Amino acid sequence: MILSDTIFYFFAVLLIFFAILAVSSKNKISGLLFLVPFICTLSGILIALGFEFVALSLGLIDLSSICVVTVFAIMIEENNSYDSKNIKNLFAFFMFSLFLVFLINVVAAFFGVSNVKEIAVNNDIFSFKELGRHLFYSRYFLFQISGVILFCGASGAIMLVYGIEGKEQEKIKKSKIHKDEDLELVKLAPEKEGAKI
Amino acid sequence: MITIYHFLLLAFVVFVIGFYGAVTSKGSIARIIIAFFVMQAGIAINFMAFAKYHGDIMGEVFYMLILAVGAAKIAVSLAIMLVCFRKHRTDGEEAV
Repeated sequence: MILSDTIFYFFAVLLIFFAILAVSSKNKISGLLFLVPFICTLSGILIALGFEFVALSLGLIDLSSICVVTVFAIMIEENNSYDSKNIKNLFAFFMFSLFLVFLINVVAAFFGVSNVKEIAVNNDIFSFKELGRHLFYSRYFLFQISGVILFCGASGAIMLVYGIEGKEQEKIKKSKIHKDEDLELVKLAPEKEGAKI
Repeated sequence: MITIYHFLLLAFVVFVIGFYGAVTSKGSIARIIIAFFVMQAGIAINFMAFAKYHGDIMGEVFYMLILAVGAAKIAVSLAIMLVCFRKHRTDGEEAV
């Protein structure tokens, strides 16, 4: 009991700490990187509660999207304030925090907080099989609607970027000068000999 | 002893941190994304704690759906970020 309490408090403190770091860091890229241990800690709490599948999906989906956003943020960053030493320090911190959090996740998986009195329920209803059964039989339309929303979001994002690109190309086309339409060739009189420019 | 109130308090604190980040983001889309991730974590803890407390799988199911919608949210935010960068050469910090 004491161990499970300690694990919960440790995770809670770690989660709040990484949340504050992510939100308050001056650099956007550092903030995005602080989200990685934050998500891992959250996965730890979910594993400790007994929701292994949600924790795994959270790790997969959120961590991959954070990586994509970080790559975009690095591409967009105009002031290249990262020298090699900064990147090494950041990477070392990143790896250390990942190692720490995964270690704690393993501990949480063994000594979860799910044996606590008020939260203790039958764990069989939270199995993968039960979740899949609920998703595909009881909540089929919700599942489909979320898929449609995801599809609309992805296609909307593509259209947003492509639409702007198309407009810019139209502007470039309009700005092109055609020889027959807009230009008039004029013969200039030859310059006088000895004239200085 | 850990009760549901501990989880609710943790969820509340995390959500408030995320909300504060969203309010003080100054229009930067990357910062808004960070704040939304933090807020989403608060929501996740809330759903899971209630699902565990009531012994109902619906909290888990709904959070799976929220994850899918969250992925769409990231795609749209990335597109907006890219458009802002093309137009204003920032990720929205000064443009907004």
